[in-house]
Amino acid sequence: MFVDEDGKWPGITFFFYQAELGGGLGYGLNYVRQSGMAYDDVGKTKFTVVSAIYVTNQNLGEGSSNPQLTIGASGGIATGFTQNWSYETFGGYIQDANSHEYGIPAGAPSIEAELGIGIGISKDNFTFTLGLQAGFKWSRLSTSVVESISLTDAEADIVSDKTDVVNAKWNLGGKKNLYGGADGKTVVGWQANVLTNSTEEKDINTGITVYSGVDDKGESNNIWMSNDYKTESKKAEE
Amino acid sequence: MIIKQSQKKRKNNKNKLIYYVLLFFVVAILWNLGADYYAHKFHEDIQSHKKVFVYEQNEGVINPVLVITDLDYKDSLISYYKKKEKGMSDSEFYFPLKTVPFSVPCYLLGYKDSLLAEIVYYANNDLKSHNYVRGYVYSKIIKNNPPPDSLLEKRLKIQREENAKRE
Repeated sequence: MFVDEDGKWPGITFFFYQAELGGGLGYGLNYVRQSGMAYDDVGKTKFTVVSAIYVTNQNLGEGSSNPQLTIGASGGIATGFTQNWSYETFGGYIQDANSHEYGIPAGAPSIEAELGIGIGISKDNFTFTLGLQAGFKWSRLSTSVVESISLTDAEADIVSDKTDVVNAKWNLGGKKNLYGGADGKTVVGWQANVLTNSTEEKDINTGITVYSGVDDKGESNNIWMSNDYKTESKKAEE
Repeated sequence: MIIKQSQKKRKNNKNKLIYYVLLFFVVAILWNLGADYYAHKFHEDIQSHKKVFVYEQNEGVINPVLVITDLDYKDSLISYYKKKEKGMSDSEFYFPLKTVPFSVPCYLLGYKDSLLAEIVYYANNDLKSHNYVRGYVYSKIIKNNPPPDSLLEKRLKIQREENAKRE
């Protein structure tokens, strides 16, 4: 599990900032937002994920295969990391997550008893957080991706070269339908340009194009990857 | 005398503990009963609204419809669809990408204005899951019936071919 034949640190390493507030006794109110960067074998992914439940929208009903539950209360802001050793790349991870549920990295059931430090362990990952948090809570939450952008290391370097800001934002501009089919009228996905900011300029076009898909039911997921990242990710997961 | 006082104090502490434990369970039960009742009424109200479907159907093709969950993007959404109506099929948008599933019924809560409708749909059409999306769509796209199976199959075939090409 922890061994990588190439001698590299195995799996995906997520570094993130987290804001969290919530509490409940079965029914509850809970909000967790994480933004950060995931490092893997082939590149980097900027991601924002949210887990939000409240009394009327918390997936507690009969027949739910994915119950969300919060017992206790806690809140705060933190920074942390999660090491996931079940997948080689974010691409492989999210592809699989798509078929059942998301979870980056707050998806695992966790017990938090935090006053500064939090630790969560599941069969797939290990999470460590450090910050201003207080409370005690047991939670079982699923997380949905607000947006993620995955680039290869080479492409991420191109973005870095366009900006003088450390850890500059990756934004998306000019989102367009991607058409397919013989008549070219069926929307089979979307494309967008990756933008970044510098101290003097906003929305600098990096020239990198990323793509997002649509599932059989017509739902998009806001998960964007460059073609190179997708190809290399597939190879790495084989 | 001192022993008797100590025994009395211990008994009082024990009674207090039992009281707080009972209070906790009463509050927990009341909270869950109240929340369950409120959630039940809330979803009953949503599901009493008109059922509609949201998808694009043009020239024998079915396409997904963009939905916004934040009214800040209202003007961008309307502008995108107005351009599409003028035939600008490659018009750009800058709001978060989210689409409504083709065949899942949506509940039409009302209209924000003549071009923007508020809808709710449940994940996987599982009404009991209480897991829903509430958002706004371009009102001209709303339909009364689900898309025909033949068009859905056609779309699926094209999409799979395109995905295979990209992979």
